[in-house]
Amino acid sequence: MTEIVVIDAQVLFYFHYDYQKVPSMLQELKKKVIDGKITVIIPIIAIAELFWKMRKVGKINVVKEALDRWEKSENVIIDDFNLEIIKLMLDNMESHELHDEIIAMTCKKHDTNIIYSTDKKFEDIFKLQLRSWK
Amino acid sequence: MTINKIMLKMTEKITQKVSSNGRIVIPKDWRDKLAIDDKNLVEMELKDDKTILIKKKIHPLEIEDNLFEGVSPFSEEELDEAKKSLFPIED
Repeated sequence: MTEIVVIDAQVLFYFHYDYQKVPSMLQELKKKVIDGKITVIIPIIAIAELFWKMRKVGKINVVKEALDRWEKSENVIIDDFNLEIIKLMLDNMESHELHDEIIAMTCKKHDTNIIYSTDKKFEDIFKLQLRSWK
Repeated sequence: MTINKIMLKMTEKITQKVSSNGRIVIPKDWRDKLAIDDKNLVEMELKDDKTILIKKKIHPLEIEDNLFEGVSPFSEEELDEAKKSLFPIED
């Protein structure tokens, strides 16, 4: 059965970084996506973060190329921030950092609790299963 | 050596009988060269109603061209800044 996981902006970056320098957990993730054992959900705001970083260093063209590859990739889903996520946020009584909450609710939307990130808040606050490489 | 001669040297040809339901076999040494095994998919392309081109299907994430070369991975500070850029909050 294919596992569904959500990834953050750091993982997106590592998908196209010098393979030898990529943490082994993320090398393994990439291999499983290619082999069809894992489907990754990319929240649109993770793409926005990466875009913000790459634009600062004048590398918009490579983001265009990366985006094109994600769109063409099997087992990769780019997920919009939409009304469904807002409705899931309505169940949260406490106030959270919006960025983290949207990513956490993206997990909920896709019925998974697995997030690849190094941010412990996903585990501590949103009770997700954090797959951290640090 | 001219370019034409180089191209000629790189082209290998075989003749093969097609089975009644259209099956052909990709020679083993060609499969080995392209690292095609029984788990892989191939793409077939019909060109000008004359030529069939078969290519190993490559997942876009398999392309290891270090697209983000020269850029460092996110630092903690950058992640914070990026988040604030999306949803500004006062410290």
